[in-house]
Amino acid sequence: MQAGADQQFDLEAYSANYTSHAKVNRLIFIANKTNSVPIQLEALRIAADELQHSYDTSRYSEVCRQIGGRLGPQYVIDSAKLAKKQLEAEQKHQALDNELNGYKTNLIKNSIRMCQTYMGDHAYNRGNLQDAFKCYVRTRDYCSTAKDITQMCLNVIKVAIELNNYTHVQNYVSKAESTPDVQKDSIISTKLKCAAGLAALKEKKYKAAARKFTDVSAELGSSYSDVMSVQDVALYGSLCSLASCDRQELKRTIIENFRYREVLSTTPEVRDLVYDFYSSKYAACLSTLDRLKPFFNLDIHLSTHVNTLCSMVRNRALIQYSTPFTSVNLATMAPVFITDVSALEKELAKLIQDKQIQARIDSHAKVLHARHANLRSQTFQAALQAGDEYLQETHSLLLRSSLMRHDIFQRAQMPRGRGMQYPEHTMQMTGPG
Amino acid sequence: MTVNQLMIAIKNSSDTPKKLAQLLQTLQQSSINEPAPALLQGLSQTLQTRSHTLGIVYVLVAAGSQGLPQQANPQFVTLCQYLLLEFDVDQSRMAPDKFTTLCHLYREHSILLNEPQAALQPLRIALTNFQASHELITPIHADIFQICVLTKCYSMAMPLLAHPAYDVDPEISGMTARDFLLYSYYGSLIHIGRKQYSEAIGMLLHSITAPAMATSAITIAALKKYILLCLIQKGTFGSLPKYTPSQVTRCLKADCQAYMDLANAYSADPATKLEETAAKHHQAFDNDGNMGLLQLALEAHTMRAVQRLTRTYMTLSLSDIASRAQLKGAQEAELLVLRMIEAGQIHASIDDSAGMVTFLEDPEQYYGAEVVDRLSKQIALSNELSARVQAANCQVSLDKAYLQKTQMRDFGPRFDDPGEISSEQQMVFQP
Repeated sequence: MQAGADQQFDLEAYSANYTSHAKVNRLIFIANKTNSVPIQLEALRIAADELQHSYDTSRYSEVCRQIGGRLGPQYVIDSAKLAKKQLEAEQKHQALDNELNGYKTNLIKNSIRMCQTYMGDHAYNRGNLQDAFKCYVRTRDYCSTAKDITQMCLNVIKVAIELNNYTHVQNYVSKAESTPDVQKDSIISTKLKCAAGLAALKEKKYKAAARKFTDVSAELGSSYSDVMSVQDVALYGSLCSLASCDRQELKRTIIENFRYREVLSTTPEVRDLVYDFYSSKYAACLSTLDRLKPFFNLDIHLSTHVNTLCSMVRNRALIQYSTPFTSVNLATMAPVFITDVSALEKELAKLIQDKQIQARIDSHAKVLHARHANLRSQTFQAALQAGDEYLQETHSLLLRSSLMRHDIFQRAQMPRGRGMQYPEHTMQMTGPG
Repeated sequence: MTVNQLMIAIKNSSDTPKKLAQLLQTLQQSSINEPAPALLQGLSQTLQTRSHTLGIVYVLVAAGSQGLPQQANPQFVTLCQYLLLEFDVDQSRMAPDKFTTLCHLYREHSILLNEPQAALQPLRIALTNFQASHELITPIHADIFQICVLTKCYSMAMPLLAHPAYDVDPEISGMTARDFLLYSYYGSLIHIGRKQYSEAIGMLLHSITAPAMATSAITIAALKKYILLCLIQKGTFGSLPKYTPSQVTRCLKADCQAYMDLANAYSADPATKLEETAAKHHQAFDNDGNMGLLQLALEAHTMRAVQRLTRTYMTLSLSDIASRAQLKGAQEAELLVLRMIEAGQIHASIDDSAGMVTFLEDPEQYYGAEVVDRLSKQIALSNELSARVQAANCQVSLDKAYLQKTQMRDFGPRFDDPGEISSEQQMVFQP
């Protein structure tokens, strides 16, 4: 995502990175999410322009309704034109359907597959995702070559991403990856990596997402523009890596990864973010992160994860900052993390409690002291505890086996006559405690 | 049979084992319905405790069952006491269930008469003689434990609890499932009374994991105490062991909702809802008589919060401790820290002039002789236990029913469905 430093968001340039549904979806998402009216109208305008010539009439009328005449007569629904479009779409669907029936009676495998794919494409263009998904999945039985299979998988993945069904995305990615020759076609395998990364991101598996995204090369170009752009790969990959990788991993996956460097160069700000982090300029890194956060929030796939990812990045920065020192003065540390001493103390206390930092805080002198766990004591403690547990469990086991051997079970009806009902005092008398 | 006839029959046939067996048969078949005073009168006049134990047991059980649970019989209690202090062990083992029933009745009458202490000594002597070995749990254990709990004489039960018991044998002791549950429930109460919480947890687990096809009220009471003790001892209540009967696991939701709510609020971080939950279910805890344990659990929660602080901070002001451990003020925090230092729960020193607490590391380095001692003791115990397990394993593998069942499993498919051969067998058939 290109986000200027002057807080102005160049929608035209941004949307130029995408085509078809991705473009419209992202624009509508921005229009719904943003608070600024000009940006909203601009987004809707570009979306309406895009939709005007498509068969997706319901989406178009929805966007026009949202614009509500605020952009002049050009963006008001023309019902006659709309009806015409709908009729055309209907006719096309009929024609395809007839064609398909013809092929089916003659059992021409390849033609059935093609026709099903066309029908899927048509439903997709109409905005009818469920039908498109069904059509694409149906082609599965008629695939004969590896190429057919990867094509089918890519179609299904595209629709599944829009349907927010990431289990399907994963399934079809692994299906496509297991077809022969797919590794040779670098564009297709790159697309699959993008899809897999997106699925991992959505399932909050940030590390897996980072690994997938950083494996993508700039070769991708605009070939996957109906799903995501190179800039997105740079952004998602960097954020996930910063949030989930330690220094060594970061070095290996991004800094020394020449292919990904090209990807990163498409978004200079994100690249600076990563390099600042890696060269321990946490103040610069965190302030950039704070500044970019509103723009991240406008990203359709990232917005729900922005807060988690940003706080993970911050925690990681805190951990990395404190690791090499035996003691750190909180007063010098606070400005680096753009906060005051008491807030920093709380953050560090939380991390220590979660066992992410091995240190203790001297709250009086406001100093963080590294603490090295005494492994010997811990081992002794663990051994003694394990021994106690073993004794207890084995004792219990022997008793239970004895009870079972003698057939002493608690039954609903006591086999013997005595003591059927409880004496009153038994249950009320609970002794000490 | 009149009282007189009965007495004469007992008197005449208590000298040889053969006659005793006949007497047992007669006593089992006939029901003794005479009024208690007449029975007790005849008994005290004609019979002697050591030589006529079997007959006396039957007569006393018949007499003692009358009048309960409203009216106690002092004469019955006196005669029981005589018998239990001096009886013939072999004769008592001929009818173990009657003998233990007599002990139950004796306990109930003593409690009704409001002098349970007096029953303690006779019961203990009876147990020592009746019990074949220290490892055997008998129904009399539960009686003694109950009286110890009632009279708060916890130390009297300690010799019994000190020996780990591994065996129940209804042939010798007339044990029932209920007796076992009461044994472990009251045993745990004694441990709780002595503040030995981990031992109490172990005891409670015995009753919770005892084989069951239906849940007893005792198990539910044990379950409730178990949850509270887990909170006190470990700070969380995870789940029951996987070998717990499913009926009992189900009770967690059905009967222990208040306790589960408390456990959830207890382990939540931050535990803002703990006080609220405790107050909400106040009635439930009160009804179960668990207010004391609840209070202890709440205190343990605060202490645990302070303990966590020692791992995070080296120095911290008293007011900060108060705010982080949700105490009322610096004064209360100082008192708590002081108490915990004294109890050895934390290692710290208080600088009163600055209002600062300096936390120190645990000085225990596991170098001392006690540690070696403790370790070697544990190893010895573990060895002993594993030998027992080995023996039990051997015993099971010689068991006829077990062998039959495993045989069925191994060769079953061949008889059921010749077309299907399991992978295991395929391996066997391979050349």
